[in-house]
Amino acid sequence: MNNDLVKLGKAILKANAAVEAARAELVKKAGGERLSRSDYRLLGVAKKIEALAETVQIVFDSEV
Amino acid sequence: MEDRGLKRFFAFALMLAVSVTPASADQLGDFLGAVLRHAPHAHSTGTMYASVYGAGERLNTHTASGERFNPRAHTAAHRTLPLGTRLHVCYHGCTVVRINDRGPAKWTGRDLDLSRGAARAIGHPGLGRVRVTRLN
Repeated sequence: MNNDLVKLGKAILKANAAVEAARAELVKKAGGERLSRSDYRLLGVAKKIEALAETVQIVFDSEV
Repeated sequence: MEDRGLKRFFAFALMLAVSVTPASADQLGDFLGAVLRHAPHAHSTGTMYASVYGAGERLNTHTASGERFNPRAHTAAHRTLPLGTRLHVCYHGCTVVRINDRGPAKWTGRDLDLSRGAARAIGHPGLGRVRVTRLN
């Protein structure tokens, strides 16, 4: 695979690891009460990063 | 193609079963893990007749998985594959799509509905056969 793409994939995995705790906290909060509009938007972005990181991980795994 | 994959899988499982006799729970876990890693998927590699959706026609706002439908995202609909499955789809170019919806209807004779973004990324004209590899 292209080196630049591998670098991008690793950066996405790193970003996902960085937001993982905050995302879990937001999900936990959403279980108890309604999220504010801004929190809801942040959660949407965090979930998109998660989906992207899952895809990257699966592609990396399938390359090996 | 699938028959050959199944035969290869069972031959591999048999070979492992003969060569490795699981003595402990750890060894049993390793053994099962090795077998599952080599298990062929129902649609491991092949071609699918694909169409495109999300190009301006009237649609539900949400997909079958519950998320909002984003026509620009690289997603697809399939009737039977588990939601969340990633497929490597090629036409002129290639992309990885995530199954997040159900469809297309069986009577259409199509196997896969690509989102507009995924279709544009691979240069798919709207109706045509694509090469597909299942990644997970």
